[in-house]
Amino acid sequence: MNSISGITLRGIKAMPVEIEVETTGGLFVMSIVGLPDTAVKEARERVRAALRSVGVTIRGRVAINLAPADIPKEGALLDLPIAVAIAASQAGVKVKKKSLFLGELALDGRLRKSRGAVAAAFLAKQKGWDLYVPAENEFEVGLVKGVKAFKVNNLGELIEHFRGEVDLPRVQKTFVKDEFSEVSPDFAEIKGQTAAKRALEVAAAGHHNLLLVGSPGSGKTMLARAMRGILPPLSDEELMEVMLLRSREGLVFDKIRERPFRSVHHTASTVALCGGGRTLRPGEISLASRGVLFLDEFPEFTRDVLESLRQPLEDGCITVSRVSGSVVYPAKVLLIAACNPCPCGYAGDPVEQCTCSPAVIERYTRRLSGPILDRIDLHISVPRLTPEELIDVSGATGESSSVVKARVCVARKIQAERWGKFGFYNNAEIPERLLRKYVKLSSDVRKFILMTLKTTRLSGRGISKVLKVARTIADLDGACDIEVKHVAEAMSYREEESLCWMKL
Amino acid sequence: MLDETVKLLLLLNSVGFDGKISADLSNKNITLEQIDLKSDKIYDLLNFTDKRKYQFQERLLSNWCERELEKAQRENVSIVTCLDYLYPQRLFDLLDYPLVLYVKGVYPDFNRDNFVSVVGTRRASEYAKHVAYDIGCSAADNGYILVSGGATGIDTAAHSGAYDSTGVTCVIMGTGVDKVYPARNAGFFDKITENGGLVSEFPLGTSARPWHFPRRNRIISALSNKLIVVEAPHRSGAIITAKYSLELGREVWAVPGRITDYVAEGSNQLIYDGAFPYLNDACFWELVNPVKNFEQSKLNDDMCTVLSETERKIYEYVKYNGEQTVDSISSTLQMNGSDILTTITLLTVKGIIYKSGTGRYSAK
Repeated sequence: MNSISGITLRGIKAMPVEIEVETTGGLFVMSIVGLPDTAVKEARERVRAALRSVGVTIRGRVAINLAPADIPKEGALLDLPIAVAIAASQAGVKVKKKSLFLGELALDGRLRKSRGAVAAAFLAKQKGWDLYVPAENEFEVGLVKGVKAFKVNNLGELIEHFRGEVDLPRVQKTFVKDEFSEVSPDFAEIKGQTAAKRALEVAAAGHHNLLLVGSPGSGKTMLARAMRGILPPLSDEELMEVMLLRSREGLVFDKIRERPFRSVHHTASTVALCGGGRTLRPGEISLASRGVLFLDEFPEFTRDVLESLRQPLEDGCITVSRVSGSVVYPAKVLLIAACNPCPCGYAGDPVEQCTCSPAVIERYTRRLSGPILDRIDLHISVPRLTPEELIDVSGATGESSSVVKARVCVARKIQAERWGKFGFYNNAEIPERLLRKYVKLSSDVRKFILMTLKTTRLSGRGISKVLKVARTIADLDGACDIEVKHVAEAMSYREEESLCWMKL
Repeated sequence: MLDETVKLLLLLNSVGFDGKISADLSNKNITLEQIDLKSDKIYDLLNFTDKRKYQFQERLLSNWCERELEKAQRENVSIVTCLDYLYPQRLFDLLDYPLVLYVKGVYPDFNRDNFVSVVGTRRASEYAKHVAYDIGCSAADNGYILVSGGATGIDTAAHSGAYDSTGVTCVIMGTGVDKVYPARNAGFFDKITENGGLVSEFPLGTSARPWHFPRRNRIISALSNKLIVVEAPHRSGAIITAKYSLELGREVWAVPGRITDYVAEGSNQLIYDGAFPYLNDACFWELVNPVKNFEQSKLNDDMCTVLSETERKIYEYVKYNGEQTVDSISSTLQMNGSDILTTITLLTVKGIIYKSGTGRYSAK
């Protein structure tokens, strides 16, 4: 039984890969079998040079088998286990306990930072194996509790460790602090935009998707960025999920509980957004999971891209299926979309003249309408303030992000308590049947909704959206039951209101 | 067997002839009934161009008329010729009145006096759409039948006002009545045919062509005695319609717009040229129906007494200061966004505030 294993990544999970080495006589040749990709094949040169630097010279025909043989292996994570396996077979290095190795080798034997360290740590923990990781990956591995992990600076050190000459240091447990980085812009820095700021607060509190509609220069992008400052911190469980994904992609870790914020340009392809490729990499929607996915110039995305968002927004996860297999990635995002009211951007503007013909607006509408809008609960129009209006509001100072965030956190807690027993965390996720059953409407509210039906032309779907949002507003307010004022405010965020320039 | 005269009119209409031929014929002392469809004399008599002659012959030989009538029956379309007594008599004020009208839906009694036409630009402001919608509502409330085109903007706003107040509306189309243009109005046209009609002079299946619309405008102005231009820039279909109406001696009303607005230049010019300014519902309907007491105009003032303190504060601020954003309300009245949005919705539901632009609100 071989005790040396590496990993390859399938989705966010690590699969153990057993490394077998056989050496026979003859001229020096090294071959790797077991569906290696180019990065793995090239490991030969790195491994040979690295082993040479620590005084191990390889002789003879070396065959390296990566088992199981039928799963494709990707990336440079297998350099270290291959090197250790060769050292074990040719230089008398003894690895007694079953161990997992991870890392990319430099030619001089140093270890480089590697992707997938968090996934490897989970695997090692589950199997009870020892784990050897590059020192640079220490922080993320330390997050996973109950794993016996060693940090390795270079190959020489590791070989000395197995020969019993030195003891490698253990990876220290790490903790993520509750502090936050300074988010710019802060809510207090945004002049005016009272309505949009309130909508952001409601969206953050109930995890509702949000559409911002406004002329160019009205501040949609700035508002979306300010959203980061009012989102509640990641819980431990959520943090692990985010770390797994970031580690999978080798992204930089901020050692804080800030939620991810991914801004995607409208030229992005479906694969970039949803994930895919031969190696089944996660897309932006997964990398933004538990945080914000910001799509600026929403209607400019190709139709395919927008339609592909439907299922993940509904289910909170996305299944990426390709010839090489299929994996499930989380996709619990808060979508913030921003768009202009018309192609030229100035429909409804008091100063600039809109130059779009009705046919052009019609085409624009058609891109926006449809099932994707069904999944957006909050719609808010952002007016472009005239210079006079800007001067008027410039004196008014709003609340700072931290004050708003405190309210959002309280509201989220209330929701988690209410829906926890059904397995939901926030109002936006609640399915229709639970909504009707557990969101009680007083007779006043019922009367108010009936009264408004005619003037607001609210559809059946519209009503349940309004109720969800009203529930969140009531939670922000600390109210037990939905009152008329909550419903009234929720109605001001409905689709029909912000898209009225397209109707009639 | 199909009446020969009806057949003749259908064919003549389909190749583009209109009421002008009756003048031609009377000069030559011939009536329509005397024309023999099958003889070749007709081509010289009516000065057929080659293209028209070819089309006419082809349709005559392929039994086009029979198929057209069959199709009309299937689609619930009534066909009226200018010789029918149901044909709108007011259309005879036009020199080039349509020879045939296709009406899909309920055929209204065109020969009564309760018709009002509304026209305006497709690129209407929210303000103008609101006015058009209200005109539609008040027309329905006063038992008037609303006549307008089927375009987006003012036309659709006026029709939906009338439809929502369960009134009768007539859409004058620039296509065949079985075609929908613009396509987004498909569902809406279906609803209209429940108690109103889609009217066109173009044969079934005709699709939209740019020159159809100015032609259709003459029907809009001739069908009713009053025309209201809601918002129209200088060169526009609405202004063409207003010119037709003036030529026919119809009453022309125009809704005043801001003088800086490009889209209101034409309608404001009409007022300068002597059209009645449409100041409010009362000033229009009082002339139409002097007996009825118009208390509705005072509604807004009475409303203030039933409003709560915050509602009244916001309503009055918006009413006396014109279009406002939530920000300007917030900074002047020192209120937070949540309260303002709540109050604005409550006021919208009460029907005294509406959204007049992106994030901007106005009082009615």
